[in-house]
Amino acid sequence: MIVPMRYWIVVISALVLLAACAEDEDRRLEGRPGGPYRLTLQLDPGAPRPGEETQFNFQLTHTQSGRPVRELQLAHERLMHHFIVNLDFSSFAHVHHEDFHPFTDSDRTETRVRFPYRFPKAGHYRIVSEFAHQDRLWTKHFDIEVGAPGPVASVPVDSARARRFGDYTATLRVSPQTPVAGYETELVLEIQRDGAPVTDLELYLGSELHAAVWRDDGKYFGHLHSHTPRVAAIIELAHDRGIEPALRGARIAEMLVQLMCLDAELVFSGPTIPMRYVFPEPGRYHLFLQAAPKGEPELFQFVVDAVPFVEGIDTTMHPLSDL
Amino acid sequence: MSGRRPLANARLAVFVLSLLAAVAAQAGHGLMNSFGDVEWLPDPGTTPDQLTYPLDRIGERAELALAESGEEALSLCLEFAREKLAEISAMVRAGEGQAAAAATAHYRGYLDRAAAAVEASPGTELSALRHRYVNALLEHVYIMSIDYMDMPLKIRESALAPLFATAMAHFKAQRAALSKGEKDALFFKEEEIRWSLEMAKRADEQGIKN
Repeated sequence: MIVPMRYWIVVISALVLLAACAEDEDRRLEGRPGGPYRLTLQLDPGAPRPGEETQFNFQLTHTQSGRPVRELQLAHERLMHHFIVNLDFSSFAHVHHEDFHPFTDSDRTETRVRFPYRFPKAGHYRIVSEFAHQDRLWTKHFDIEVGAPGPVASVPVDSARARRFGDYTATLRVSPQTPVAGYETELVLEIQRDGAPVTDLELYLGSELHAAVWRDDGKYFGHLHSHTPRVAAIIELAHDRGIEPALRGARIAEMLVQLMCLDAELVFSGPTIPMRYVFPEPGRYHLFLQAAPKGEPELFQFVVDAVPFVEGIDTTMHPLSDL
Repeated sequence: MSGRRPLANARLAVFVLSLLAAVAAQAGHGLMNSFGDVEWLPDPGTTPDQLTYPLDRIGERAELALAESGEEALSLCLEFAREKLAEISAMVRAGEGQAAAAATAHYRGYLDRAAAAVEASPGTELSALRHRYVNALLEHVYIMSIDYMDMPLKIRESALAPLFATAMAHFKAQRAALSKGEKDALFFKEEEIRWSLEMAKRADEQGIKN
């Protein structure tokens, strides 16, 4: 019997399609850097398109054994935080599994994390995932191309320290005025609504403020929160050289346990929120700050340049806050 | 907080916040974030327990002998040193203490050569090469202190102690040549390393292995 040519065309096309689908299914991205934990990410669809929903499916395993990582620690009310940024720094998102669904027993057993996300436009995106295990924080990152992005385009940067965001005006004060790489910097965010100081900040994920920081090239991610009086008090205690070191250490440890056991507490209701940060290397950094006036998270974006240390440069943190 | 030397405050902040991070998963203090993008170790390739290892060593030495500048020599030394770290890691995991010790000796040799390349570099390059070397040493210790958690409890402490001691001794020697301001700019990286080593020590005390 002679099989018609069109039959073969249909069969071969179906096989090619199946193979493509299978490849799409198996396309697991591996989070970097390496180390004792392996975080994989499978996107559905495998090639995300701008404006369309993409499902993110993560799995966390021990690199050596391949076993799921059990007993993740809750950090700021979530088991894993994900920060999604377009590398032209035109969009940002802070997403969690729990924002969409509760963890099932199976999710926990297999350490699977998932959530949907719509990339706003074509581009090069970096995803940073952060989790806590065995009293230590870990980050992994993934690079994803959405649509047909072309080379990373630099978008105009507004380096003003006072900027308007919808109904809000946010001001970022920085000390030293030009941060020096490797040195501590104090940052204070001040928020106004329609010209009046905001005094109704509420906790968002256990803190008055969440900040995600990247250098211009997507490197040196940082995640920080408000610099609270509790932390400042511990620092004061640590500074008391009149106390015998062992006793001082025991007191600090005791306070830290108290800190750990206490519920999140609103310290800064506005209009200012202090932070501390060390820009690890020189360069331009993009700061995405999330605070929640009236309990509704708002995003404020700033750019800060950090310079290398040179002899004679001002590295002093002149106090900006009352802590 | 005003009126206090900023570095003193910084040191205290790190001390306290490192404890904070060690005790609780209080995410995001913003002071220790220097190594989030560190490039992990390469594949170990040929290891000291293999017959072809001497050939591998000859190849490395030949390549190094052909280096035309201090910068090239430093680059090669750091590349080979990272390979030695990968070998040490693989050997410790395999329970091959002697082979790990051999790789550690070679690692020490490359650090000695790297230091010599830095010191012999012309004045215009000296600062940049020293900076690069110092950062590489801190990265080595950081990576190995993390990798430590994956290694067998019985052997890891004795096998890795000489490596940490070597890297930190080289770091201290280079650090001594820096100005006070340059040293201060390294402070948080150093603290992150110390904290990472402390976590490794604590894992030993508690018998923790991933």
